[in-house]
Amino acid sequence: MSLLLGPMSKHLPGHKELTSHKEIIKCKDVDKIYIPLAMGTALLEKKVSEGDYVKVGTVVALRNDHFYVPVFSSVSGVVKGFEKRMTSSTKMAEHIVIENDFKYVVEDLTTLSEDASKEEVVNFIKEKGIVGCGGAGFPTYFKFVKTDGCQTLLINAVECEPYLTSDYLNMKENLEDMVLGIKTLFRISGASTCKIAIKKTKKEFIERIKELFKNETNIEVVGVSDVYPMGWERTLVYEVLKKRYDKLPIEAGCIVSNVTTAIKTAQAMRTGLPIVEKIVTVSGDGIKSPCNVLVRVGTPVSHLVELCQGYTTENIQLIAGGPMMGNAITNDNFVITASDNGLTVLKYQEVKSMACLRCGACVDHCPSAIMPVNINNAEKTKNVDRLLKLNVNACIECGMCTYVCPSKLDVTEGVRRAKRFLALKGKK
Amino acid sequence: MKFVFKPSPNYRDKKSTQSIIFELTLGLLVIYAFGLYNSFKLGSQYGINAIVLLIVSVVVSFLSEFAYAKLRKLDPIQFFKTSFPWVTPLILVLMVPVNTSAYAVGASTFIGVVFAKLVFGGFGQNIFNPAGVGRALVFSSFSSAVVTDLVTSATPTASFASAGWIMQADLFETFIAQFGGLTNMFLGNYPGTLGETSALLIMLVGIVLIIRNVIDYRIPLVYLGTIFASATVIALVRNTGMYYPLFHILTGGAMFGAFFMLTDPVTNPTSITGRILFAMGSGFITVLIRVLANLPEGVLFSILIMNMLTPAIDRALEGNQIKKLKTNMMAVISLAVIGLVTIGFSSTTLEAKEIKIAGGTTDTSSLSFSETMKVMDDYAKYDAKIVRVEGNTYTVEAKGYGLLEGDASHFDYVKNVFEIVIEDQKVVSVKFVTFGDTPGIGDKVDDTYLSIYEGLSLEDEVDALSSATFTSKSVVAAVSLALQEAGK
Ligand code: SF4
Ligand code: SF4
Repeated sequence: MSLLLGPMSKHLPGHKELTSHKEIIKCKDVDKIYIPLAMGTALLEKKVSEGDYVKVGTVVALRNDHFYVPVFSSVSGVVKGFEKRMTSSTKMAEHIVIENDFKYVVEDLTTLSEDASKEEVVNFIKEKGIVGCGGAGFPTYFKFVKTDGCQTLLINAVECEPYLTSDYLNMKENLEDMVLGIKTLFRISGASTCKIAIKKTKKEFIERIKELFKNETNIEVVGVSDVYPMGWERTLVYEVLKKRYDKLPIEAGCIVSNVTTAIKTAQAMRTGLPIVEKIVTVSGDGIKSPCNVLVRVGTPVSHLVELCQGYTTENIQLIAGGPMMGNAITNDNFVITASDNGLTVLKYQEVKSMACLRCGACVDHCPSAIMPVNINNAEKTKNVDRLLKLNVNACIECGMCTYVCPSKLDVTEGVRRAKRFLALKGKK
Repeated sequence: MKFVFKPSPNYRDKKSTQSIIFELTLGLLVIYAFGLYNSFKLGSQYGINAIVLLIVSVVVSFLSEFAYAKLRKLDPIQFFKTSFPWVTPLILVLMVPVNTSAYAVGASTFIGVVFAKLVFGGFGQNIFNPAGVGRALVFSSFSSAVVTDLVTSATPTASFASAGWIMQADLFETFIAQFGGLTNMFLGNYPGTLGETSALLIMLVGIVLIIRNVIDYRIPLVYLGTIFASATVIALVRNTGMYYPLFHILTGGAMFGAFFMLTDPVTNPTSITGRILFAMGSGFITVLIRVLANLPEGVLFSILIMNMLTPAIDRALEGNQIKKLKTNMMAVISLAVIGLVTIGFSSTTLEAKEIKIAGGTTDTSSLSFSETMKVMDDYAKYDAKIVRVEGNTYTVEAKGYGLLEGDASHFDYVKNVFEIVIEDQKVVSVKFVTFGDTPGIGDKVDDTYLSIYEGLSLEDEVDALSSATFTSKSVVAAVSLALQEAGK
């Protein structure tokens, strides 16, 4: 049937070699860390006030809307106050300022044994604030609360955004934690098989991972095509299981979890520590020495840039995340949070756009199978009915339509405008 | 340090509309080069004309777009970079017969570029394929101009059209032998337009462009597939033999249309289902125009008709393509079934035109297949003139089929000169003194053919030789004049 569908994905030049073979370097600890009181668009409750003394692992803020996510201090020291800064999702938000006393006094932390029950694990993940590390920051516990009908646990180790290699290095550096994390998530998912999806092109690495799981008959490693957005749940579920679903992967009998999330879970179980450090890729042609950096959560990005020897040119784009879905941010003061995994620094190149060729490349490649060019046209005429029919809200803002557009139009932005317009009209 | 903000993504594919058009242009130039080579093989005057046509067309297109840019107060050079004024002329010239007048091509370019492209707002906005519109104009407005008439009447498509688009296999063999057989048609060694003749070359260039992702493979595949399937249905219903579908896809610019006209992204639908419906619809219309309207030019008009339907197709298919997959598939299947059934029914109405054999003096079955002409007909337009009369030998000259070399803006025709011997108001013999016609076309008119005139009088009818209609008419004109002269 897919005769009538385009590829809905595309191979992108990954430039992963810039950082994938380099050692991870540790970012020096900074005097002050900043914890944003925002998570994407959601606001957080503060749990500390000025003058409080906090330790590594102290809860300093809490997300408590339809999700429950505690946020922790990554250093010990005194809360100096609050400051408005820009976040990595381009929002202005208050940040908790914590002065580092460089003692790293650790909060009295609970660990979890490897054979803890499902409830214990889910609760543990929830209390440790483990969020999806694929970039979206979706709280991990939520996926494992209801696991009825789950047959397959899919471990997403695809890392399809260009330039980013932090997942890959994280796996390579923490093989044991990865094994423990995957086994634990597999156990609590209640699934009968676990599939670890890695890009086909990483042949040797696939062999190494297979070797690690050679005694586990239910855990297999599958090579998936090196295309974007293979890391997106729908694309991945279709590639591995050939199934499509309406809202959540569980409808297709599976749960998808990022590999770094699994590693972080295992690390928390062993040490009791929540996510206080992250491996972050700093790459792109705009940075002198691209590499992966191990950094404390709350560190301003300027320190990472410095560690990588600065920018290569005057006009650059600093992107939180990969170049496809990450936001370009107009200063380097924003901080790394638990869900950040990369910075892309690109030399700015002006693009000249021209009239739409009507080539349909955006339609053929849209992973959501909607029609970006038609949406752009309908948006111009503000036609609500037509936009609804075009299923605008299925767009995941993956950026594919802009990427492929030969006329260099900002197609994705047009779709976003359409989404905002519909939201304004109260149509979801 | 400057941090530039642009909404995500901040990553772009290398491929651009400019690079797509550039590769397309290269492809078209390869085909043009072959056309040029073919034209020079016909005679240097044709080769030169082919060059003149392209120059005239390109100049007209650039001038029109220049004026448009000025009118809209745009920098013309920048405008050209995103308007690609050379593409329409290139396609147009490839679609016209080698000896079309530069005037006709210039006018069609103007109409195509101005009325099919610029008035819509320029590149990307047009509904119709500009080259297609220009080409249609050549047919409709300049068809009476002798120049174009000559060559269209000499192409396999036109000849086949005049035979009623149906022919039994054994007859077909002799028919197609005139053009060197189907294999030759595949290779492109036969009279036709500049760029449409070599199916092989068009396919090769097309495949390269498909691999380079410049054109969507589905369009030529579905279009040619539809024509092939439709023609197969006709072949089965009418029991013509399997040559029939092959002939349909090899002739009348179907190949060129499939790879270079229908694939024009601006004028075809944006979704895959849309493009499939578009190509399939076009294929059915091509065959229907051919067999029902008995016209040679199905390809061109089918493309223009489908261009017109493109916006409607696009709108009808809007939605989530996964959710609409079933309805889309149904649409494709329904169109295929309805189309084939329609074709099957309409094929029963097809009538093979009878072929009269004149004089009975020669084996004309290998020669005929075109309209019958009365010797009495008025052939004044062939400028027949008595040059000399010596006893009962009349030397007559008449307009030939070739063009004279030289001034491109004003063509004159070569003359055929005949020596005709008449006794008792009957032709005794016809001989060429000077033969000015196109090699490969007119030279089918040889002694065997000329011998059918022996014994004819003014009241008789003869067959024009389809591959050389014009030359035959030239002979008839000369004979007719000689007979009249002898009757005085
Ligand atoms: S950004 Fe939205 S519309 Fe564009 S390709 Fe991605 S999902 Fe489709
Ligand atoms: S990819 Fe760009 S040029 Fe092609 S149809 Fe979409 S918007 Fe138009």
